[in-house]
Amino acid sequence: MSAVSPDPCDLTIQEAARLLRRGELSAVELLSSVVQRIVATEPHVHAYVVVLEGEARAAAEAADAALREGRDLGPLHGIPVAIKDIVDVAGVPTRCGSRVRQDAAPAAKDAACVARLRAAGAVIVGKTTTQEFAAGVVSPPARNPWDPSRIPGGSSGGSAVAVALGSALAAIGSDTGGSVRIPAALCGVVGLKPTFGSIATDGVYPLAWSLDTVGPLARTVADAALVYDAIADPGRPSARLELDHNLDGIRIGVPKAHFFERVQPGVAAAVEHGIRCLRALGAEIVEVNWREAAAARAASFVINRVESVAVHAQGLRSMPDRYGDELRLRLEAAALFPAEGYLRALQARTLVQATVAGLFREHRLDALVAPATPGTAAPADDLHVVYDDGSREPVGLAYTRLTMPFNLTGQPVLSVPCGFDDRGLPVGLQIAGRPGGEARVCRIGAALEQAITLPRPPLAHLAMERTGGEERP
Amino acid sequence: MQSLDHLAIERFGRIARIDLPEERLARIAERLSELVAMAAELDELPLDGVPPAGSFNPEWQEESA
Repeated sequence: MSAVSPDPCDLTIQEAARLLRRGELSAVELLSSVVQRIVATEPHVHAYVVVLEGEARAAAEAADAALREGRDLGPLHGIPVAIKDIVDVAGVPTRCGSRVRQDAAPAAKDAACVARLRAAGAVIVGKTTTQEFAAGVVSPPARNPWDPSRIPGGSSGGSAVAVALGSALAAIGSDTGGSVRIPAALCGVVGLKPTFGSIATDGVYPLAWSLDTVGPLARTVADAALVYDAIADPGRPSARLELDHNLDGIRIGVPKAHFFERVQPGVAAAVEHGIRCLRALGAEIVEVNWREAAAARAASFVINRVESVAVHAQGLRSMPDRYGDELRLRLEAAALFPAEGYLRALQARTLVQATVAGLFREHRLDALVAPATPGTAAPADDLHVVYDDGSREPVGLAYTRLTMPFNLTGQPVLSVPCGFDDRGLPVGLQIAGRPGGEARVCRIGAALEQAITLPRPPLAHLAMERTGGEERP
Repeated sequence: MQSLDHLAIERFGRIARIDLPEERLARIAERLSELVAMAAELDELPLDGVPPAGSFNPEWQEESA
């Protein structure tokens, strides 16, 4: 950690919430600190497409007034949160990172998750950079907070960058093939892909209907759980239920096949260290063989591609030139894919869900753990993951290889930082639980987080030093 | 994998009602081959008679208990 005290924007949500209630920090001061951090870091990382400073300041002032009057909306009251730019925020165009939507009208109303955040008292800071229509893992022009010559991952890249740097205390992303977990892993923050269907996707631009999920990114597991609780559909169990529990009696499966094949050595070492920590914390670790994992990825890939072309069929016919070249190629290819192939992928989903359920039942598992990505952040000028045998894999295929199986199964998955590779780039470990088991994956992730203390990105230190590292009130 | 021929790609494009410019056909064929290769990985699964799942099955939790 830096020698200087953290600015308010470097506090966790829990820490900030405590200070707000004691009257030792105001929501306006917290927002000002976030805006200062945005000003200091945006030229390097381009996390935001728009910062809603005026609206956010008014919301922060209202939050302070409410607290003074004894109206406390809960743990997110006065907390600055950023929103991925495929999610509607009332009064702001949702441009989805695409020229297709360059003339989009301002959204008429908030997406369901944004409305729930506001109801919980959150202050919406702005909208974050996304890969075009959330279809990809690069998120240009956003850059990685640990090394701005590298990509942040995607498609919720701007959300992960903002959280890593203190340009927001939490952010909303979406995960159809790994788009919360991949940037969380590459930027060294926590990302939760919830159980499919647990958070309403109303007001979120679709990528693939049967796979799309909305999820939070935050700097700690407890903070991610707080945001999940605020935006989850009514009646869902709290993700915070087990945060204070230890790992005694927890059984964790390690699926070596598929998930530990063709992985950079620095990633494998950090994840294996994380697994040893989980064992030391009391969890029982068992090696398991999920034979259908590669097929799960393949089926998820096919469904993702075909459903996304259905979303964009009209646009592809009427304004193909407005799509970025990469997405246009992807859509054109998927438009030609035979229907029978899509149907077989849906059949595979039935089989794969049964096999992973059987795996949990047979081994009495609480979770599976694996690397979130097979490699750390790739250079922005060479979009490949390079392995120790010299082989290269395009980032779009590499980063989704380990995340996509769980989009097919629909189970909740938490990506937690577990260390660094030899270049000093963060590595993420993903924890996949049973459907509806957000509390259990957060329990495991929180325990791991206590065991592995990680520093903040260099850019955050630079910004702290520039502002003199104001004393925490 | 052998590349798909451009004539076939053009025909498929007409069926899908999308205009595929000649200069893009090679790259589209490459991407389609990638997708077909991915789908071929499903050939190893015993899918005969398996009903398709249009979305995630929320009963998974009970089945795994």
